Amino acid sequence: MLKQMLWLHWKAVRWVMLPLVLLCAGMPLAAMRLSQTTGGGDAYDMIVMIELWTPMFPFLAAFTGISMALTAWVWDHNGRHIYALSLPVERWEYVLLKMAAGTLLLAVPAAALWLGAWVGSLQPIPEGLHAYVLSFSARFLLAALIAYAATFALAAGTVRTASVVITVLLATVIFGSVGVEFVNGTFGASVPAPLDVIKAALTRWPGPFNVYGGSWMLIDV
Amino acid sequence: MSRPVLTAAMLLLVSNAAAAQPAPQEVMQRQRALLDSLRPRLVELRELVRIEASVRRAEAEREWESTVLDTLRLGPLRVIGVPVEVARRRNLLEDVWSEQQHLFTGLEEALAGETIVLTHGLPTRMRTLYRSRQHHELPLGSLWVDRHRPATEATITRLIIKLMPDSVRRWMTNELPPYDVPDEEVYRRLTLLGSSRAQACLAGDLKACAAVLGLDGSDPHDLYTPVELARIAARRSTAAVEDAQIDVCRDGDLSACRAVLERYHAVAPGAGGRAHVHFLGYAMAAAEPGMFARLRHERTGTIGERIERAAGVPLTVLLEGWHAAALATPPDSDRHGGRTRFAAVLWVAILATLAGRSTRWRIG
Repeated sequence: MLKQMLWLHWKAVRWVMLPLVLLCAGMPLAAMRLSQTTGGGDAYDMIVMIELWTPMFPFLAAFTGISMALTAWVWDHNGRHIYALSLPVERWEYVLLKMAAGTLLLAVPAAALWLGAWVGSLQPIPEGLHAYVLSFSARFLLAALIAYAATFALAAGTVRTASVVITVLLATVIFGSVGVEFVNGTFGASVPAPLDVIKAALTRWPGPFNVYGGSWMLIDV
Repeated sequence: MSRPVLTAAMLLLVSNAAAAQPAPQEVMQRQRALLDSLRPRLVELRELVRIEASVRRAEAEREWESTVLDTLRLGPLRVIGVPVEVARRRNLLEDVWSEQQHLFTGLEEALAGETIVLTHGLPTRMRTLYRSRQHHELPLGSLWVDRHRPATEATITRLIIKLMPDSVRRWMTNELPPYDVPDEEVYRRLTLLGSSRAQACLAGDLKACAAVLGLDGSDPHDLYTPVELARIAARRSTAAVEDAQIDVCRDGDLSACRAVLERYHAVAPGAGGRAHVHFLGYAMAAAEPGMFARLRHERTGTIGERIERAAGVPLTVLLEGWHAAALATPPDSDRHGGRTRFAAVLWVAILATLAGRSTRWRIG
């Protein structure tokens, strides 16, 4: 059944995936080429140029993952889940198969990124610098997977569930900030701001988006 | 309210007086009458301004007198501020002080009476007064105290830099102790300098390290070959391709290199202040306590010689230890990569489980 799911997802995502694959292959290649051209063999210039490109890759990973997740559910949403309900499988099994299919498909842009980075790294690199093609590609794949899984989980639920999750988050940030400021101001306490707590919980290890931090440098010392 | 009215009245008087010159006799008389009628108003306005100023002065004095200050002792230092602010920041200040106390060994006398002012909540006049007395300000306004740790550390440790001789201060480029510069940063900095001497230092040449760190008093330009200098000059120049002097420099003419750099107001970069304090931190760890107090009185020789005397350890030994500790192995670019990947995979599993348990198919 995984094969069918894969085929179904592929049909839904192929036109979205084409530009994504091109971007994934082209961006690291372009970053390497441009940094080598403008750097003229100088390590500092090359790193400066690569640093300019670096922030784009987490965005690309997030965009890839979200696109993949949204296209995973498009057929079900359009058909109001009737086809899925008619299948002789449990709900959880159906969801896991669908998730697995998307995960396998995510390997395509990740492989394209690896290929682009690898081809780019074949050119001479100044002394003291190294290309980190594998760890760069692995980070991209995991970041895309996290974005995919988070969006997939939200899309898998009802609109009500998604609304509740988002509303609770927003309410915590807004009312929590006001409340905490009042408590701190009145009692001289130092309770941390809810936004800081949520941000830290999501982005610091072992938070889900920790993989978006750290080094995304394709070339480094 | 009174100042604009006063200004307007003055302007009216002046303009009327100016306008009156070419006017006929009766116009002049009319204006004189107007002027005379405005005079009492002017006197009244002046009186109002005086009263307002004295009221403001009285209010400020009352605010000053009613402001209660609290004091906190941190070794030889004194921290003052309104009681709420002192109470709020006491833990942070004491924590930072306990971490940095070792830096101040032997400097107690020199720092006695130094005052750090928590300016938040103080009346403006008081703030101005403390500023004029050159006390150190800690102007923190937010409620999230822990966000102010870096600023608090900087304010306290800046007191050490203030005591150092000018040449040492310049060498530190006002970078702050306590030397929390990561080893990776120094390695990275030396690699990216684009200098063959920096590469030699990374490879273990201690003389090159002394030069790169600016310990031997040599000119930063000497760290570079003409080709390397030409590259720096070209980086600074927007019209590098057309600059014939860069080609002369590239051919090995050092004076041409210097001329080009001067033209672009550029200097060949050294390892930088953060690398310098990184080394200083290592030297301090290797030396007896109170190195800063001794370095403060070292006024002759190169920076390297001064650090050597202050630390009581030969410079080559210090450099050897520093190199072994910080530069012997390249930084691990994938540090914490394993645990990050593990967490990501775990979260994907958690999110997949959550997706599988969603209620979309519940009928009824």
